[in-house]
Amino acid sequence: MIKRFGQVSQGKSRVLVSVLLLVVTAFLLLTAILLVRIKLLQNTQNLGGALARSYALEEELFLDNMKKNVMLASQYIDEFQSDETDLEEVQRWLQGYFSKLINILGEGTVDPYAVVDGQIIAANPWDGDEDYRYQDTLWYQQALEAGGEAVCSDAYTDIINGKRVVTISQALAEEGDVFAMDVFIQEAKSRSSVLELPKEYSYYLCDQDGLLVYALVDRDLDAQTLQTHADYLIERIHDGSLYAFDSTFKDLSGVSRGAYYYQMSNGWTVIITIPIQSMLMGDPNMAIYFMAVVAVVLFLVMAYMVIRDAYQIRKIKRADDTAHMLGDSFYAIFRVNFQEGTYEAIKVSDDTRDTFPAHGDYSLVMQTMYRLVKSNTYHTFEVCFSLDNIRQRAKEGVRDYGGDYQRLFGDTYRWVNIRTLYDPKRAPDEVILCFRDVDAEKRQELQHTILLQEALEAAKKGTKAKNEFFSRMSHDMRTPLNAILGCCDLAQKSRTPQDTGKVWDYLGKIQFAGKQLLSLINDILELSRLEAGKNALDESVFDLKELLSSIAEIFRENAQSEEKHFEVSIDFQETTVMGDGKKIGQILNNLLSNAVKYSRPGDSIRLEARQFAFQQHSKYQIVVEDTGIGMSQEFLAQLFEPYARETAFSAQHTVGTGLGMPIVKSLVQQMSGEITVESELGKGSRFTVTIPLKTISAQEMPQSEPAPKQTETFDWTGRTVLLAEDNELNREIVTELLEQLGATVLPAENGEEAVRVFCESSPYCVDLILMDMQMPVMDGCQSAEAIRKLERPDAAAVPIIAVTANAFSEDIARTTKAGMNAHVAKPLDIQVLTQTVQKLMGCAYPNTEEFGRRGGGDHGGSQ
Amino acid sequence: MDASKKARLEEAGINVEEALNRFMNNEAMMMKFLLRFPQDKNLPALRAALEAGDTEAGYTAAHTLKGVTGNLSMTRLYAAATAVSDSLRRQDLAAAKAAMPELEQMYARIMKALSEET
Repeated sequence: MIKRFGQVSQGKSRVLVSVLLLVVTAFLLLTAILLVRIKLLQNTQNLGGALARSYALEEELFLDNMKKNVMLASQYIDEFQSDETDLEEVQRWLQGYFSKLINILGEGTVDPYAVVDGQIIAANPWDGDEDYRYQDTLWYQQALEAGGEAVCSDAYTDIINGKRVVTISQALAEEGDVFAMDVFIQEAKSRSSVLELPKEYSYYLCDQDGLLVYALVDRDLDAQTLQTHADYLIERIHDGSLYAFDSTFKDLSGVSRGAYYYQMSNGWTVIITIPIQSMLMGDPNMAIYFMAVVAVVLFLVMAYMVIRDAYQIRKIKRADDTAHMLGDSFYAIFRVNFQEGTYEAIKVSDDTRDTFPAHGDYSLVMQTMYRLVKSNTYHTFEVCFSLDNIRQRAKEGVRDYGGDYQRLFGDTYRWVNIRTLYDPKRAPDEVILCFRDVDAEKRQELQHTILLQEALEAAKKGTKAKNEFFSRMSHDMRTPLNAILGCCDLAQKSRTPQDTGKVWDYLGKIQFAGKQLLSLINDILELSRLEAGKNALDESVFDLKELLSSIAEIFRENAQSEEKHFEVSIDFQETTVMGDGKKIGQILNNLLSNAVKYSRPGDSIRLEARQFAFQQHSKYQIVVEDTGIGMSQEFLAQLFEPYARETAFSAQHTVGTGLGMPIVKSLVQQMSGEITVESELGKGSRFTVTIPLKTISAQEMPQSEPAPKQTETFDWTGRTVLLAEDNELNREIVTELLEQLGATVLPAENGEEAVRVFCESSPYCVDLILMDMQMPVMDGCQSAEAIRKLERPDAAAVPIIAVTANAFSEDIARTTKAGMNAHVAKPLDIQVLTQTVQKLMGCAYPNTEEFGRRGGGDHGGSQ
Repeated sequence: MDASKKARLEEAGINVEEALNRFMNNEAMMMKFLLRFPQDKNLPALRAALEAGDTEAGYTAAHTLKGVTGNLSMTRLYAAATAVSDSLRRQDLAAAKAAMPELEQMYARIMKALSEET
């Protein structure tokens, strides 16, 4: 409907991008770590492989050297044998050779010996040489088979010292002669470069059968354990599971290690294992820790920025939504740059959509306004919202300025509010110009103003009328007072006995003036009471026809004495009604006295009353008509307004305050009735009063009403009275009084107890309940209501009499509403109570026989 | 009832005729209840309530006191209690307090007269 030129970026996608960025960064970091790890592992594999290979070569070289030693020794021995062989000489040489070898290689590394002419010759002769069957040994057979080449046996455990050993042997030139040398690899290794490996590296050398020849580990382990571990490694090498660069295994103490190996040409295997930890991290290094910390910090900073960004975007979005919602109450919004004289349309109304480009010259706005603003206000509008004025206001620091005017929408004018809003901090050169439809508010406001003016007018008029009334009333009061004082004066001066007649005359005048004054004051009091709304209705059952007739009779005499015709016609189907008879009498009195007052001799006055039956509430109509002087239309208009009597009217010799009709109207309204008047000057007046009254049929009538002569007294003997009264003393007084009269009293301290006592009594046992009104726990009304609601045959019928110290009519109304039958005043008067009960029993129990069935009471008790 | 006793009670603000009438001319019964009056707790309750500014409790006490004094035809005390009760019904604490000295005075007189009858 309304087009908006600006759109704010979508916050949500920005948040998404930020989060994505964060994830990508985390991924890159992890990938980098992984790549480095792979590279490190690959490097380690290369290094480990190279190490294993180099050690393998070293091993081969060592064995090769040993072979060369054997070959050299064999040639020496061959030289001894060229002529006659001296075995002892051979042995001496062998010992010399042995000691020289040991000097180079170390103690216990080698042990040379030879078979010459079928005899074993050793550098270190050992027991049992004589029985030793060298022909069966592997080294001997291998040497003979090799035919002059030095051969190396597989590793085996030496029987004598239990060490791992290999034997290198070579056949000598003489048939059947062999030179051999045992090499103890373990001892040889004690000088090897293997020992230079880092401490956490492990080194294993296994022969072609996988048996451990030599091991270097960082802990003390027995041979069996080491062999088991070596077996495990060999097995994994064979199945290829240690081949990959990143393959690892757990060593005996649970550390992850990588294994690197090389197979030597004689089938032996060199294995080096390195802990993964040490290859990845190397030594604990400050630089690495520093890098890690920097990476983590960078990542956290980035995460913080992303979160903050998301939070800010949300805040901006809320502010944006708020601005939109606020903006929705305006049908058009412009930003006006008053320095450059341009505008930017944020929002435009439908009917000016085509007129306004998104940006433009401010004069365009004013041109459009010329077309729309009601012509009589355009000039002011033009001046107030000219660029000069806007600039001026900005300079003065006016932040909010505007007002209401009528603007054309289609073909109707509506009230519109225009404002210029200025904030020097946010936009020092711009104001926001906005328009809001305030038609409904404005109209309401205008209406309120009119109402207020009217009320003010009425109040002024009322005050004026009241003031006039009081000044006139003072005058009216002064007249009879003057008459009284004057007559008193005259009476005092009449001293002679002949003046007695005069004195009587004066007294009569004084009485008349006094009465006049009294009625004046009564009227004023009555009216003020009515105005204060204090005069509550006092309803009772009475005969309406009788009431109207008796009042009419009073005026009949009056009228006839003034030679006026007086007619009465009353036509009721039911004459007994419930209502405030006193007030109805007051109404009729006023109407009839006016009729008599404002008619001339020969005129006629007519009272007519009839009934319109309408269900239970009948309407009674009373018409008072005269052919008297009547009233002017102007006077009629003010007839029911207090304090507004026409002075012209009072000039006629009439008596009264002018308050009569207002009082009548108030009374009629109070009884939910209505009063109308027709009158014509010189022709007479006709007042019609219609009042709804409840009719009472003959059965409903309290029979004792018309029979005060009947002195039937209620007999308390044998009666049971439930007495609810919270004050102990009061309760005892009433109890004792009633007991004196022969009644039984069931006392109750509060309303709740009263209900309980009643519940506990057997049905129809309690004849009467006396209920105090104000009690703790449960007051009289609540208690009565509760008793009436009980599920027992006498709950609805048992008479309940309220005992109240407040004879306020609203309190009495409450007792009736609570289902109580009557009320008596405090302090309790037994005679009054007895009368009330008498009346009540007559009504509530029409059949006195039934009521008296149990108590044996005597109803005819006339004394 | 002897005239001097009647005069003393009348002097203290008790309408003896009316009271006798209520108690069905049973002087003993009337005296019995009159002498019970000093035990009535409503005045202390009223004083306490006014002290505490509790108009509701004050109204209950004053109203009950009014009932009791009415029953005993203590006409002047009844009038004073009515004044206090009516003020409190209107929630007018100040007016109630203003009416208290009168009530206290009437009460004291009755207490004195009753103490002489025991």
